[in-house]
Amino acid sequence: MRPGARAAVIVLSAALAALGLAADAGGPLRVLATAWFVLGCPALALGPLVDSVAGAGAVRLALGAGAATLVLTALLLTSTLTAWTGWVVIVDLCAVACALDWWFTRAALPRDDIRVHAR
Amino acid sequence: MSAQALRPVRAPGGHARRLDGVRVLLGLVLLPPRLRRLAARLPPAGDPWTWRGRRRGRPGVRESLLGPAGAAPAVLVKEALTRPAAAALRNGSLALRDERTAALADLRPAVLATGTLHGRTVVAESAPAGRSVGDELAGGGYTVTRALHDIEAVVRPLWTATARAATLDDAWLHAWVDAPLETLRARCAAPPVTALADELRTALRGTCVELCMVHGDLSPANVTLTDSGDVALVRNWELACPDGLAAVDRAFLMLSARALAAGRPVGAVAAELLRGPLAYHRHGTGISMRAAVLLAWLQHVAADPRVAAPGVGAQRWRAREVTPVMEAIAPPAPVAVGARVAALAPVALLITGLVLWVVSLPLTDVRDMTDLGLVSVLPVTFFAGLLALTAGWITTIRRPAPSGRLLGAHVAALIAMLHATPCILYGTVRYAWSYKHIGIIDYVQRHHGVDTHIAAQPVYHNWPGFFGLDGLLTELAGLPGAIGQALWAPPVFNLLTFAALLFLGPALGAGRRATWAAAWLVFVASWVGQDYFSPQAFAFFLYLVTMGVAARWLRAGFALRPVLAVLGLTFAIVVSHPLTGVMVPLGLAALTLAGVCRVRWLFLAAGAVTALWDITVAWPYVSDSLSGVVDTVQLPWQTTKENLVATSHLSHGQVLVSDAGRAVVLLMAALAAIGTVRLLRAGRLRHAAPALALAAAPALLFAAGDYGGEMLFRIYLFSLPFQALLATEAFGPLTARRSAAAYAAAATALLGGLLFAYYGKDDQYRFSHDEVSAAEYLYSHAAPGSLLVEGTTNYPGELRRYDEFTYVPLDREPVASHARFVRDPVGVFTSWMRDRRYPAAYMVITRSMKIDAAELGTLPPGALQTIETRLLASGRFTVVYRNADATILALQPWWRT
Repeated sequence: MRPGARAAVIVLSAALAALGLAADAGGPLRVLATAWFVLGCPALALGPLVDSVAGAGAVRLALGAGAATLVLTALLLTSTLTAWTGWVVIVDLCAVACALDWWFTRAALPRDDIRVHAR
Repeated sequence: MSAQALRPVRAPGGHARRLDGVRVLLGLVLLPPRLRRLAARLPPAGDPWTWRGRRRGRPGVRESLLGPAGAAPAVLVKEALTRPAAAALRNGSLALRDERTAALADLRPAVLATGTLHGRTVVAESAPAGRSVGDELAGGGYTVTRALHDIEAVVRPLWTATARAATLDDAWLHAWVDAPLETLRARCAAPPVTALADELRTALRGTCVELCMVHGDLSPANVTLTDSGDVALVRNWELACPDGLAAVDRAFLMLSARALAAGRPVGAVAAELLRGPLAYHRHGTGISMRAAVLLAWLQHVAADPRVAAPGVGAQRWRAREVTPVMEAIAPPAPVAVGARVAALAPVALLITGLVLWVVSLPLTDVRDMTDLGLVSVLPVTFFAGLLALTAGWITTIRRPAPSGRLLGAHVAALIAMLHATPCILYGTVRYAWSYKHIGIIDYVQRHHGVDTHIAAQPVYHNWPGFFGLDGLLTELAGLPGAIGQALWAPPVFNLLTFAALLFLGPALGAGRRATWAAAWLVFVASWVGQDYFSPQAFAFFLYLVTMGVAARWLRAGFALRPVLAVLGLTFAIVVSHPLTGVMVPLGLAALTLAGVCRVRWLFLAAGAVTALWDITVAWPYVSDSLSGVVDTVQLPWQTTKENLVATSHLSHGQVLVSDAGRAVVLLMAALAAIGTVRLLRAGRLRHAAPALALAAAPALLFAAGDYGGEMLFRIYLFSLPFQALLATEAFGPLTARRSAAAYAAAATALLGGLLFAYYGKDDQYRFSHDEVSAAEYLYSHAAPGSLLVEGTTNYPGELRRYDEFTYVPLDREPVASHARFVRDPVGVFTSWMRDRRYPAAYMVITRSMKIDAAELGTLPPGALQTIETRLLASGRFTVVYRNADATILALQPWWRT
């Protein structure tokens, strides 16, 4: 998945999770959307940072779940874990990962080199 | 580039002008920054450039049309998204600037700019507006004959001007036949490819031909017409070649023209030609028409990345473009009925297994369960389903090239049959500890955090990672509690483990077949039940992935991102589960010793992370329990002896269950040992050193105490995946009939043991809806600070507000006191429950408590039934809640006062 598409999926997922929370909607769709947001989005954002050699889904999922676990543990230890604070830190985690990926990708790119040819 | 080349083709007016205004505005907004940078360097400098749409290009090439504001598109920017596409773009731009193509004069596009943009190879060409001959052919405005005539007339000067005589030798044959056919071998059956190679080599070798500059992709779709219907441009020169055959260019023109006119794939048209009389016509003095068609088709498919790509889309493309020609060259031999049946056997067995499983579910009445657990009530169809699935698995894995999807479907079906069955049949969360973990999530929801100094269940507050993750899931999904997640946790965690195993096997050097075979062995031997809703299950998944990352990406030495990944995963494990946090440095040390992880300090760093957590955040728990842990550190055989249940207290069924578990462990260890010996004898032990080291490393956990009597089981859990990898070596190549039979026998034996060992305690582990309702009632209504006297801890206890109560499980009382409260329950419990330190006191006795006490012998036989009966008959106790499976009693108010 290209970085732009990845960011779009994350933004949409975060918006969907926030919408479900704000509207206090119920049902399996909200559970699925939330599970995707909490586990899938960090995996999507963090995967490209490390998993450049092979597209192993297990690694992406573990990295995403691991990173989410770490930031949520910090909230637990400071007794600040609520649905909204959790949502914010997951969004922040994804944003930082996407920004790092974008920065690394940009840094690795060769400089633009365009030659204009006269006919 | 002249200003004339960018001249507007048609000046807009009236309504069209207004529409163009909108288009210009949109085009300005949509022009990506990278293309804006490119366009800024193209003349004319005055007008702002706008984005004018996309054009379908070659695979791996993105084509964007740009134009000055208010004018028709004038520039086509081609960006290569893949390396082959970049090479093709460079080739095309060189060809267009080559003097040899000057014969086409203004009929070739002008290359306006080339270079690298945003890391991608880019070529900008002039792109006058106009319909292509391909569009006209598809719309019926052109006939095939006219298209062939017009285009050939335009291109012929190129062929003529650059022609030179040559004789086709092996070097040419390699470039035109062998190299393109190599790309087909990856995904196509061998016989037709070989037949095609033979035919082309025979037809071409030693032939005198005229080599010339060719377009390489001379399709009517690449020829643009002027408004008056004349050929304006021949574009897309990416496959141009200075040493080609005009006959091949002409053959591809014919193929593509027919394909476009009929709306059919080129492959189908080529196959039709090859079967018909045209195939034997000689084309001039050069190569035969058949050879030209074959070469043109081969050039067409070999240049497309889908020829060797995985995925359904590429498969469909091959079915359209490659398969018809292959069948025309070497028609597939009729398949014998037996072979067809054999090909379908795995799928049929898989479906049979699943159908038998589904059928068996409504036939199972879990209320009739005996002390053999769930296995005692499962109908014969369930076992038949498992056997069918195993047969399907064996049939699949011994195939020369087993399908990954079919293998995956078998393992997923096995996981569903083994681990989703209790979820479906019971409808309640299995295993008492799951409810305690649900209670921790409830605590997190109520307090938004944890308390590392808490007295009740402090271990979870000191390693709270898993509960933070699931707590957020529960909160954000608006769920009332974690019961839903806990119910389906076993199949989900097993699927995660499965994914991790598929990653881990190749990382440790195992082949594809060995990885799959080992994964199956893991699931038929993993009976220790650490897949329930628990930090252990979560941390185990992370542990397997951590080992895989270290083994796969740190073989060559330090690499920043994998090292950060390993340390990050280690940190996530350390905050989630104490024992796995200790296991990670041991596993990394094992990989370092095996020479797989070349970052030698990594295990020390992981150990430092573990130690750091233990002496900071988890210090309240560690400081309290350290002396207790040290006291339990013994020699391995002493720990083993104490961890094994003394079977003299067990019921007959439970003795069998216990023996089945031990047999599975011994069989797996024996298979791993045989595999290791075979590797040693074959001189390949070094190859399996990582798996061997990781299988042995968990034994060091004996130095960490007895882990509440569970250390032996945890060691088995951590060692099992790696033992399974070694065990696959015990059978030899699974494609051989005898090896497959031995593997099947071992897998079936392990599965048989697993059914007893894993399901065997379900008479205790299963809780009825009545029991869950009673627990829900108790924990919802009991006043904070109440005393809860429990028959045993084996019930859905502590699932809510768990920190607000004091618990007295009778089976944990000193054995000496058992006789006293069984002899005089009314007197003993009256004195306990009238204690004024507690605002209220409740006695809880449930069905599963009675079974647990009876089967494990933790209380005198019939003790709980006796207590319940006598308390009810005494008149001192009142029934607070009662249903078929649970009774909650409280002392009559006047007895409390």
